[in-house]
Amino acid sequence: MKFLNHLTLGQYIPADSPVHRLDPRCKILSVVLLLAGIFMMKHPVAFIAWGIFLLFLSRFSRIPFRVVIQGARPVIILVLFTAGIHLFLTRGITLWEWGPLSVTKEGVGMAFRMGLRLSFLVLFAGFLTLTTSPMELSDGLESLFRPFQRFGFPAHEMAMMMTIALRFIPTLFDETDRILRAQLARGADLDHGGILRRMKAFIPVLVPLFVIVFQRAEDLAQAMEARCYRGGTGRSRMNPLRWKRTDTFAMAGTLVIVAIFVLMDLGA
Amino acid sequence: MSIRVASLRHIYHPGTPLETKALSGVDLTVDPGKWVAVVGQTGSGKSTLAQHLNALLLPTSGSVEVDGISTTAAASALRMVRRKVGLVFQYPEHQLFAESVLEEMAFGPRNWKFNEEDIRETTIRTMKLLGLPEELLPRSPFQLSGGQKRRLCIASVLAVRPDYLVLDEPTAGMDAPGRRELLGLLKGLVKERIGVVHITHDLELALAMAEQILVLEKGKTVFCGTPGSLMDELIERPIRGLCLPPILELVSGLRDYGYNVPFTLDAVELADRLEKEMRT
Repeated sequence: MKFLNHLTLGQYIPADSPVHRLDPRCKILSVVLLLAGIFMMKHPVAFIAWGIFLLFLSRFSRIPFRVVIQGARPVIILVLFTAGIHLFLTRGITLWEWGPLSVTKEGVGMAFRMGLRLSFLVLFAGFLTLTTSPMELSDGLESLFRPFQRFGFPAHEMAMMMTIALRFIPTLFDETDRILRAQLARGADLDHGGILRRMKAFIPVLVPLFVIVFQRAEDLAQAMEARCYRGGTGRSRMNPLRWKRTDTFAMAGTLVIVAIFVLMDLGA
Repeated sequence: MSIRVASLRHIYHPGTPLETKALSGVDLTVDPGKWVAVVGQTGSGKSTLAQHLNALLLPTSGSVEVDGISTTAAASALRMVRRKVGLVFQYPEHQLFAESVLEEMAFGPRNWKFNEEDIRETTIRTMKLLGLPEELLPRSPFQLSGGQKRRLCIASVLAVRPDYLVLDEPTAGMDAPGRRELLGLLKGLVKERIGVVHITHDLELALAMAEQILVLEKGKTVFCGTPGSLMDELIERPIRGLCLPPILELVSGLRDYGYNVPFTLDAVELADRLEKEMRT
């Protein structure tokens, strides 16, 4: 019996692929470009082109397509909801009417477009976390945000916070699982009764969890202090990021692909 | 009336790359009023076994029966089994949540729909059993000392009057006097006709406390029997996954040198016999 299933959103799948080997900064910037491109897609042909690109990317980064699709599971409800809203609330030529609800031809188009756009956003963004380890990711973000440090943006602290948070997600899942079992063993009934009762039933799980989180935070702070951590200034790193020629190629390639897709879309 | 575990097998995450065989064919019987120890190293499957005893985990194959109720029978049976078998996890003080000791103690009884009037009475009775004074009732459980917290957690499981108590490393992280005190108190439970399953990696504790010992190694039974026969076995040949407690190591060394000293865990007895041996 498993009480908690680990999140699939934001999971890293280690593999040896050209995409995995890219500099995290290159991947972050490419994803930003791709997402901007997806926001602009309108024409059905563009959707097909993006879909093919998705398949290609999955092949190229040695991530099974099934895993890529799984990453979008948590947002399915959001996608369906958005599509539903557009389906019913877009004005135009009425196709079908039922009471106050009406479906228009434009609505169907809009629903498809928005639904696919959202799914593609999540799927493409998923490649970033699927092919980049959390460590690399936060290193990349830190490095990209460093120029803003002079305006008072705490780039290093943000990256450190992110690393710590990501590091502790699995730990806390395990802790929650253990506390859950302990309270079940004491007769806690978590899946009966109304929503209010059920929420109340979770108090015996949440309180110990918070206690443990604070305890862990304190221990971690002490351990970091004991190792003379003083923030980002003057801190060197074991694996400094290195921008390689392949990264420039990948970046240029992404730019060209997005440009072609967008132009194709505008032309069609 | 007893817990009967028959050829129990458990596989974690079957059919995935994470598949692990935690238990492969374990048999065990626990009678009321008996102290059974399950000994094994980390990863031997002893915690997995513990969770089967009160239906938090269900067998992949084989069966677990508590007083004739199989844990795989029906969903309603699960709660029956959990009511009968109290399970105290490792480091149970991590499960404390209530505002007061009384509330903490009342959590279990309320879950099992005990009478509100009964709760206070059972609470005080159970706390006395574990050496916790009544004055603690209004205190916050987080203010108690480490040892008191541990005893409170065990008491809170006992408060629903289970027929069996499964303790997963109940003395982990405790100092020697605290450990001795706790085990002394727990020994009293056996007199109350409660069947105790003591999960531990400490062979010396098991030999000292239990009437029956099950030794697990990588999910397999390597020994099952009385402490006496386990000691006899250990003298004959080493058992996989077990090392002799220091005192038995000493005895076995002395015997190799020709001293006729008995296998005992009692240092005083050993010293007496050794003195006699040296005189003759």
